[in-house]
Amino acid sequence: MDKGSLDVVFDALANEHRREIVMRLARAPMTTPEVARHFGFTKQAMSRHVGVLESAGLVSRTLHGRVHELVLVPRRLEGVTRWISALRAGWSASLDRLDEVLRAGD
Amino acid sequence: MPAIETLELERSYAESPQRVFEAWTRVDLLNRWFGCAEDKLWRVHAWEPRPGGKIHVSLDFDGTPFEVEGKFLVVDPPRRLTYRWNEDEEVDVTIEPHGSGSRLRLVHTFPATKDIRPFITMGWSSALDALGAVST
Repeated sequence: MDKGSLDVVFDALANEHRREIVMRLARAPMTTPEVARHFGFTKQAMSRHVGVLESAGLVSRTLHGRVHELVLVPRRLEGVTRWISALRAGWSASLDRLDEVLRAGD
Repeated sequence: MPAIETLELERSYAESPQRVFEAWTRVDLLNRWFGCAEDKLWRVHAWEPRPGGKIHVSLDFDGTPFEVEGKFLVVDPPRRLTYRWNEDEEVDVTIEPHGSGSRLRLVHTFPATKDIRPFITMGWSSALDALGAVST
């Protein structure tokens, strides 16, 4: 995932409601009425949040009869998790090297 | 909700807090361990461990030069070192005596800028665990 694309994902997730939707969808797909009911959204709020998640590629929508089902697209979150785990890995490696430097003495 | 995300790490070292603090403040020692990614060490251009002292490091990240500037906020030998990293990040290092050696606690803090917010919400990591289960 390139940097610009990662920005879009971060922007989409920079909202508490949308993060909750993502977390909920991480467990199981939901239909749009279920999402609206579960979070107490108005129809407008629902389509706005889901629209942002869709544009970011985090959620995909399939039509089942007259009901839209929302499914999470997990691979879009890989860039996000990679970013934070890279930082953790970088620090871990540094602090291990620090140990080696200390053991080696001056 | 405090709009902050933190990364916390702890390590124990056999050496005294004085020695550990020195490894953080002497550039010749820093040059041997201070890195970004797993195998990438920062090139240190400025590292002035006194309150207000300048920080400037860089590295070549897959052909792209990458620079970070910051400044020291707290320098309290041999116990504490706090510095600003980029515009909006902070690293807080606490070193305590532990047995005959020392224990180091590192807290890297990010503000709730757009880049960081996804990590703030409690339960986020469990959501990611759930994701792991979904994607396998």
